[in-house]
Amino acid sequence: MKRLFSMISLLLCALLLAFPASAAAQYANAAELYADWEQNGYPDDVCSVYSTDGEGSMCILLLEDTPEREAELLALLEDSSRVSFGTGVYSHNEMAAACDEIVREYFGGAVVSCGIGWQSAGGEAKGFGESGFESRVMVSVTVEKAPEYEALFAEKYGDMVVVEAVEGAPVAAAGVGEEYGSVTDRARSSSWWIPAAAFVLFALTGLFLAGRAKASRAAQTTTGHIVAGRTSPSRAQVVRAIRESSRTPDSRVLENIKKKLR
Amino acid sequence: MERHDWNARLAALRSGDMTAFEEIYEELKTPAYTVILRILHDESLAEDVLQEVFVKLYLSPPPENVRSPRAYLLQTAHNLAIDCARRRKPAVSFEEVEATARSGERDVELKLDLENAIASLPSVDSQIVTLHLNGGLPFRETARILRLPLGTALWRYHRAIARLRSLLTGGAV
Repeated sequence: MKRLFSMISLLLCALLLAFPASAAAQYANAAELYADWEQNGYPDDVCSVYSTDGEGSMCILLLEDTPEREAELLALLEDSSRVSFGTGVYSHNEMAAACDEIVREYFGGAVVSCGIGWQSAGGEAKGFGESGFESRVMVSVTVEKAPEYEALFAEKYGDMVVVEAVEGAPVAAAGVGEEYGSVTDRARSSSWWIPAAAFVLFALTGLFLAGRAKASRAAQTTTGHIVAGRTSPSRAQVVRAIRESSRTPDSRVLENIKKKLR
Repeated sequence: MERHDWNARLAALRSGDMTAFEEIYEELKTPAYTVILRILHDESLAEDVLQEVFVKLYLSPPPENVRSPRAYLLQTAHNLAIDCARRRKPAVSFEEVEATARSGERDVELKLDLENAIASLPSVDSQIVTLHLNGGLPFRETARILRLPLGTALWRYHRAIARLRSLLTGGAV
């Protein structure tokens, strides 16, 4: 019965999302597309998105700005009149990976925040790269430790990571999209109730399917280390498990090496 | 091992000091063996390659100006393991093995076991994860050994960890 209800719910969700297809499948404008990327993840070839006029005109920076790729992205928009394109050196996902690592390994103490965006110069936000509009991973470090971390991150990440010296107490790790500051105009879909209805149905379906998560087996390494119990392993747990899964060779290996060297 | 310890031991190794050699072996045997084993998936063969790595280290120690002795040795381990893998399967190119893994034709049933999960990753992604997490190498060195741009190495690492999380939850994540 539960399974039948779940199937019916999923079928209804699929139908709701398909009607009307044009309003749900596409975005009103680049601002909505950007909001979706912020929410659900960026394509691997997108570097960043910024507003060119402080309102609704947007520029999308790509790793490779080709006419074909521009056409693909423009086809997603109902209104593509205020969109321009450019190129960047680092993709958003590359910078997010570096940011994750920095937060995991260095956050706290001297490293007070980490996010993706522009730098502050003379009270204004200023981008990077040839265009002057690219983002970088911005890491705020206390003044005393800034030179040390600058050298460390330059060694590890090149110019993808930029250190800013700051005074004062640590704040929470920043999110992404700091360059997207002042745009408030967003066209709203006239079919707002469709995603809301779909969400409710998905939520109900999720409640019935929630029991499935309890039945997942624990992940176990070959050395017997349990990665996680009944819940999904976190990223940190997976990383720790991989580190702990290193294998040591048999002691005879060193003896064989010494025999060969005699 | 700190930088000055490495310098001291390598200087001794260049003089043929076996004690220094054994200390270096103890320090690096585990990361090197793990890197090799993850490429070859054969313990006996991995031990043979590990022996080859350290025999080579003793007979031709790294030059004095080497920036990272650890990265130098792990690169040697990686390269010898790749050469061995190629010799084992002359009819199958690495590109074919990787494409097969990606297409799912290889048996990649989603067992909740970390080693199987890592083995199911594309070969390069597995090597990035292993060199960075088990080898203890920074991304820059990992990217250099694998001849990848730094950004690509970072992105593929990020994707590999996400994939492993997904595999270890049976696809629920």
